[in-house]
Amino acid sequence: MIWLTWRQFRAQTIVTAAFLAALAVTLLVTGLSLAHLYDSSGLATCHGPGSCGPLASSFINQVKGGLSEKVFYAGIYIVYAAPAIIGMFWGAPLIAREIEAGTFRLAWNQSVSRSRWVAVKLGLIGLAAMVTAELLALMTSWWASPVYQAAAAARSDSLSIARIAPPLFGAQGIAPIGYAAFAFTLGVTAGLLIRRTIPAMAVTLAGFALVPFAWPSWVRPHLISPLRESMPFSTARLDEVMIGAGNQMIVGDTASKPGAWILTNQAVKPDGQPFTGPPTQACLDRGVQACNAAIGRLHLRQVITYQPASRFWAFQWYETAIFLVLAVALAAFCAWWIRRRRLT
Amino acid sequence: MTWLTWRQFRPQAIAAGAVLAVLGAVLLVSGLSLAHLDNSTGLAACPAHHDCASLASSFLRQARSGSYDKLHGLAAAIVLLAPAVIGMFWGAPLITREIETALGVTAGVLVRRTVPAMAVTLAAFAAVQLAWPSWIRPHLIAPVHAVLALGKVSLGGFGEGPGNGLFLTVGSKGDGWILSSHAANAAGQAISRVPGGCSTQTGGPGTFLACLARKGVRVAVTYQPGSRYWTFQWYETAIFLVLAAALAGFCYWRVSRRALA
Repeated sequence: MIWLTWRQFRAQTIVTAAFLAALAVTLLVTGLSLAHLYDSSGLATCHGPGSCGPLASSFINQVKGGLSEKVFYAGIYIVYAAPAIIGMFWGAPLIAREIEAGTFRLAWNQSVSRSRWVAVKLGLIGLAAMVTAELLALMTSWWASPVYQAAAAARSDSLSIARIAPPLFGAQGIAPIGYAAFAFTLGVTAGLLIRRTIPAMAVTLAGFALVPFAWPSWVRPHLISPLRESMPFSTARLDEVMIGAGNQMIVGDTASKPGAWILTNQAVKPDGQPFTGPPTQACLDRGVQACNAAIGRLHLRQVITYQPASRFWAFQWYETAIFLVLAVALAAFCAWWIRRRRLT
Repeated sequence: MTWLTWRQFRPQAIAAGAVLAVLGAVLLVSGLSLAHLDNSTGLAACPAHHDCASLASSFLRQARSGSYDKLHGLAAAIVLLAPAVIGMFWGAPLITREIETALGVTAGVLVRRTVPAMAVTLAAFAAVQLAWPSWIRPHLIAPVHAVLALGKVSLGGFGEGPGNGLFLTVGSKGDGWILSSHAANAAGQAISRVPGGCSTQTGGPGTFLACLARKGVRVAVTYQPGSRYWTFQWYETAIFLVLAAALAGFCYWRVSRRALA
């Protein structure tokens, strides 16, 4: 059975291995030159934000705009695309092609029981999917580690990189394992239910493409209830004054938490209600300084809700566990469906 | 023949129609609310007021903070991905399926051929998306080189690296596409070291920049001006249409002379 799985999966294995090898060489070559740039930037030996800040900013500016920036984003893109491609090309054809070709009659009538057939196929190829996704995440994270170290050393808001915020979160840690397992079993299930390879691939692509958009917008922020912080509104950090129709005025400052995922950022009045106006007269007909001073006299507070950087691994474990549970549920459904199916 | 094409292509046409309809509805609803935001910020009528720039930046900030930013990114991703998906699901099965089914090869072979063709299409198109803007598009028209005084340009970043290394880049040049930029002297030759007397350690960034300007440091920038947008659009469309015609011609030639064995 293991030999059969390997024999039917050989082409995909070879293509994937070739792609991983080519990517590894590319990342190794460019990654070593990036690491060298980091070592020679003086960031490894600097102390304190005073001396590290300018070095980090110079390092990050050098990375920006060059080939390194393209590799950085291409790496994230590949880690996100891999589960979708695995679901389409490994998952969807797995059962659909046996049904299309009629070979399921042969495959499911052997001395090997159907349960064992499903368990070995899903187990081995699912494992390969998870290993592939995690290898991609590890390779690209290793490549980008000097960038993250520099951003951490800078200790400044403008250079901070929030690894807990999308899109970086889903391309790192162990979350890709969960995505790959889920996408693979989604493809298998689509193939089983639709019974035709190409429509099943299309459904898998459409279904899984929703995950990177819908999940971080509506589900992930609420997995752990966000922290809330209220601080005096600072006109020094004033970032936005908007006077709109209906006697509205909206102000905002650039309150931020380095490395955190900011979910909302709102100015509130001393009584706790969101500030929406009315506009102060100084902002309507006098200069910026008078406007800032008038806003200062309103004694507003800035309230942010956020997920702190320290929760990175908690979110990673939650997310991986959720998608693995979904994958197991889909796999169990497939096994149940195949066991009870009549061979017609 | 047209009927045959329609009949064989019907599922794909229906799926594409459905995607277009849903996307159209989402964009229409959010687009109308974005247009409303544009009106309510006063941006539409700003020549009557005084300060278009601050209204525009507050509009952009609002647009970026809401779901508009996500939609904008999603729409751009869909436009970039659509050709790959079309190639995979419309193009690849078109002939492989015919060959394999019509020629009596068992249906099992269909998977072995169609699916690899889809994989190859995806890989090739991904390579084009990566390589074209990096290595080919910038050179379709010779880019403009300019050497500018520091005060005349919006800088992206500047700083002092190890060993007195000078680092200076241009942030934006109108709505042009910046290909590269570096510190230079008046003749455009690259300057790689911070001139003596200037330092980021003493005084703020403003002092450092003023000192660089005093020492004659300028910035050399290579870019494609925003005014070339439509020229590039026409070039690129023409090039890909010619490639498509060449591939179609090749397919026609292969199909018409292929022995049915």
